[in-house]
Amino acid sequence: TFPFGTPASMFFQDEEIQNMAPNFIANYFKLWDSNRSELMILYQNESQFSMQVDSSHPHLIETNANASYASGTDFGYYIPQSRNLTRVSSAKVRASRVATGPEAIFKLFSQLPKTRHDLMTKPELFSMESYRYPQLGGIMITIHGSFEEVAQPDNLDALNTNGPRGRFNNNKKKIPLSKKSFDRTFVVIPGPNGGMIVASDLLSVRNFSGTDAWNMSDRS
Amino acid sequence: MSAIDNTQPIEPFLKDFLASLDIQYQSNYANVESYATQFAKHLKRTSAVIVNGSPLIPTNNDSKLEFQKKWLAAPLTQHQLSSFDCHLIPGTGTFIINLSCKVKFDESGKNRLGESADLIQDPSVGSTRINPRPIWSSWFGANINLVVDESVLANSSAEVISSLDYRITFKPENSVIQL
Repeated sequence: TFPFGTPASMFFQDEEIQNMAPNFIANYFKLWDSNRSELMILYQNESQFSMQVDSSHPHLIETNANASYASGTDFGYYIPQSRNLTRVSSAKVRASRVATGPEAIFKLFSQLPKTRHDLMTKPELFSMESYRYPQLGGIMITIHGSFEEVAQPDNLDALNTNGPRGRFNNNKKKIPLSKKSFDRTFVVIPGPNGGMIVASDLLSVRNFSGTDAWNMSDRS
Repeated sequence: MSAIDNTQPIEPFLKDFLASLDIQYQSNYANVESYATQFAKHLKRTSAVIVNGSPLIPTNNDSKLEFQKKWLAAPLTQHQLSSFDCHLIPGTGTFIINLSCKVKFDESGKNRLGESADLIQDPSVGSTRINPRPIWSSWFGANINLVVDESVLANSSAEVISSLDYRITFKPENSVIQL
């Protein structure tokens, strides 16, 4: 046994955070799935966003695997921008894969596949922690869960320019869309007029895995 | 943003931190305290600690000591860093780090001191003087979020972690470990 009290799928440090964080997340992912440009008011010049792929994270091996991703999840849309710092060693590349400021962040957003998060209909797919970040007078919101990819990204530049020249240009093979699991951490600070600003946004994408780790009801 | 890469020392720091969670008890520790205080020694005394959505609420001890006491009672672990990313938040002197790792637990039923809760020991096991080895579970997945002082770049073994959020994200079906 793991002596840390009963695992809880949701944690909020206090009431104020409990009122704020779920709302923030619900609205955020609604727009993330529908129109990412509307999220840009949350980001300012010093805001940072980056995405990392952890392709070796433990996960369920699909038994009824559909032929297109039976041989493993395809992270093709993510790898060119992944900032998994255990895998990227060049200082220049490490720096270039953080998007700073709304313009760069939006560009990176548009290079990620379009998604659907069933936050409203299946909240049990998600778990969340939220607590204060005293050094900044802000809060941290971390959400764990999964999403469905519904369409390829709007912007395919990264696919066409990164990697060996011509490798993707001549290769018309489509990258299959699939379910993915993710962890995402926002650092949110109060903005002008009662609004909010995302100071830091870290997205980690990994193989789809179940929710047994936080769903007590699944356990016998 | 300058192109100077200040994230290079973070990886050894994270590996050192995870390794500190995995330390095995050996007779060269003078006592249990000197062993237990090695766990997560990078935590500050007053760190905010959340494990699987449960906050650590310090009662008599500070939160670091409380964490170490609980960790001592947990099965032996082995962590492996698989991915991390971080941002230095301007004006705060702190990094936010999001890392994911694999972790496996010792399923032999013993705690970190080699004690089990079985009152009646199977004599055929007890009489053999072979050093018991851990029986590792399958890999679990974990996601960890840390807030770490920028001073980690200069001294990665100091108390620099001001918050730790540890969440198991994947539990293999065949494990006997209850979270």
